[in-house]
Amino acid sequence: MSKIIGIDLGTTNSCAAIMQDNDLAIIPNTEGMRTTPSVVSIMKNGEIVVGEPAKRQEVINPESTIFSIKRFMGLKLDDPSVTKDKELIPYKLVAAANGDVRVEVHGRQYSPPEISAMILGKMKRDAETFLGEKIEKAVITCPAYFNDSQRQATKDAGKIAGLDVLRIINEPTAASLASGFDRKTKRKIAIYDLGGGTFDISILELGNGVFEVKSTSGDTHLGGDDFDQKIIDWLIEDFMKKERLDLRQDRIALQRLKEVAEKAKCELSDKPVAEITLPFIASDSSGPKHLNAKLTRAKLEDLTKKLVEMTIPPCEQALHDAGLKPQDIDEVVLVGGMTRMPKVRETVKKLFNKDPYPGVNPDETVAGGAAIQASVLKGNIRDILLLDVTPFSLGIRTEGGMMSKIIEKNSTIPVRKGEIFSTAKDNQTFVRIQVYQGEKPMAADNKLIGTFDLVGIPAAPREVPQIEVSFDVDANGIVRVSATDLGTGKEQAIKITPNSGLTETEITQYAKEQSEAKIVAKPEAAKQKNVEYDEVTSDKPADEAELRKTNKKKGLFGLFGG
Amino acid sequence: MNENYYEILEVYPAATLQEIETAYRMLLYKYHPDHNPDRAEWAHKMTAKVVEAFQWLSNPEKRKLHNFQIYCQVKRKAPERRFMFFQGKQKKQWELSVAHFKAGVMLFDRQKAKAMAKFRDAVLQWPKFPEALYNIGLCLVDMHKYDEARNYFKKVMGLNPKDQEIHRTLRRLDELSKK
Repeated sequence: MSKIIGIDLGTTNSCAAIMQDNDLAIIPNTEGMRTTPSVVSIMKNGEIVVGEPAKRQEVINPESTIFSIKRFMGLKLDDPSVTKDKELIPYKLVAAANGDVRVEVHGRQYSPPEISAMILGKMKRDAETFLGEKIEKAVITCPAYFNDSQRQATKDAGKIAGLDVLRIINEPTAASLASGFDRKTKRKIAIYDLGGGTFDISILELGNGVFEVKSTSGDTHLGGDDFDQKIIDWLIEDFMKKERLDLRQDRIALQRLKEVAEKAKCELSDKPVAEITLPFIASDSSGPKHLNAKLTRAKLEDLTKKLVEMTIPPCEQALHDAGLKPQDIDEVVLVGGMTRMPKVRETVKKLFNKDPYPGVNPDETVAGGAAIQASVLKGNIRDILLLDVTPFSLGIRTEGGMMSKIIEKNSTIPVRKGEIFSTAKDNQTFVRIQVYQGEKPMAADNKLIGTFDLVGIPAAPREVPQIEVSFDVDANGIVRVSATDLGTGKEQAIKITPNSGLTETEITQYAKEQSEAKIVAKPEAAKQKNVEYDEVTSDKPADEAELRKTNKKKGLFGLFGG
Repeated sequence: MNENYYEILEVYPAATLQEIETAYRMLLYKYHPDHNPDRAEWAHKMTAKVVEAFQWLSNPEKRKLHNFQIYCQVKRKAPERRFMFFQGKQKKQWELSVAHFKAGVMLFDRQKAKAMAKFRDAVLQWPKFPEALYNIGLCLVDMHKYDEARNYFKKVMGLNPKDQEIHRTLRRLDELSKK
């Protein structure tokens, strides 16, 4: 059986791992790093650059370099969170025919799953180079607080990248698998996952190898990116005061600010002061201007105080839903790069009154957990079982626009609930069911997942046909609906109109496009005088290492003048 | 018919919580889709069943209710022979009442509130209808309205005081409502 890799598809960084002979290994990318920036750059000539090289040239091509695409997965352009995030990104967002977010680069529209697929494609190719064999199957992680369409979009991204996605698992749950707990002892753990763009909290109960999630909560639009933005805003204001120049107008300047803000934030995790210098950031009639600033840890904590505090209510909610008190939690695990920030650790410590569980690498644990789950699916590990929950209630719209809940939030998945529907008029041949996800009492305030039409109901007086519709949330957290006619016992035809997402034909088309796309290891701008392109087509992964070698030589020749 | 959760979890009705938990985990290993990648659909269905059964039996309140439900089954058959000699308006009323009763039985397994409305319609048409009264009682138990349910069961007892089953039902109801 072919190998199955686990991929942590992150907002800012992605990571891949594999279980080989009971050893967990992180797969390094071809640049030699253990994590790959989730950045994609699309060149004018259609070439695609992914990862570190794409991130490096963000400054030169701000409009065509796409980062933090995970924030837009499975969302509509008029979603309030999208409207907010739209301000912070230099690339252009447009709406698709069904209202979904699309990214427009060089006049062509890309869907978020397509962009994510480019990242997954790189992870796949790098794994193939590293392991020396073809990889077709993967377990991909997503935030626990992702809703149905966001999960579906993640799965679609895998398909476009040519991967058979065996399972979508939740990031905190994955982290719990790889945190190195003794599986036999019974205990309750909390996983606090503050990543680049999302925040999740999950409460788990562990015992006899069963990892049972009790409750989960979070915020899909809170993470390191928001912390960076606070620093950028502060820098811009500071510069405005000193030089009376607004850097917001200059996209390249903004991009450079973003880079230094992230770096300063990371530095401040172990140093009290970070120095920020950006020479030639702007110029006016008096000459070039430079940005010099000193950011202290205290200042950063002051700037981001609100963001850190925003993580507390979901934690309390999760504890409440699990029916536990902070002192009942035996261990707290911190996951995600942002948990390196001392203030975050302090907040968590205060909240649970416990030191974080040691020995967990916040960047790699999630990918490790995905790889362990892949091994379980392969049948290599038999003594682990993940039992996750659905983060949102599932319900249907009833008369008066109310939401009638069918599956409560934090129900263990897989779950199936049946509901009987009938007709309201004589000889009615179809019934429309609108399925929503969310906790609000009015259906319209929740997220519409899709519309299901029971079609071809045999003509009968009203309320006579009895159609049982079963609502399933599968182990991936994805909703499925099916129907049976109780009168005849036959399967009832159902027409599903999802509210968002890609159609099967679109997925196949994009998958074909991507397998033919030019994926280059270096953007053209960085190549400078190299005459030949160092391009690697995705269907020839084995050649990549060779090509890379030759490129290296070429690079050297280039350096010494040919 | 309501499923017997003890049968699904393969435990005795007298099993302790510890035993139920162990059985639940064992069955999850057996049925969970993660461990059955080649028959995902079946695994999904079975796991969902086991999870539901465990949710009921691990909660003491729900377990008591389930115990009541499996001992006191819904009355499905409307007694037809007894009233064969009715004529005219009475016969029509009786037939209408039975139609409501049957609709109620159909709905009983999944929509208790609607089923109860149907049984109430049946009783409106034909007040001395013990099966319908009994079923209303069951619906009320399901909604945790034990006192109202007791009144209905007492009405059934008033109609047929020799029936031992209704005495047993009332005893079980007393156990259930005892805190």
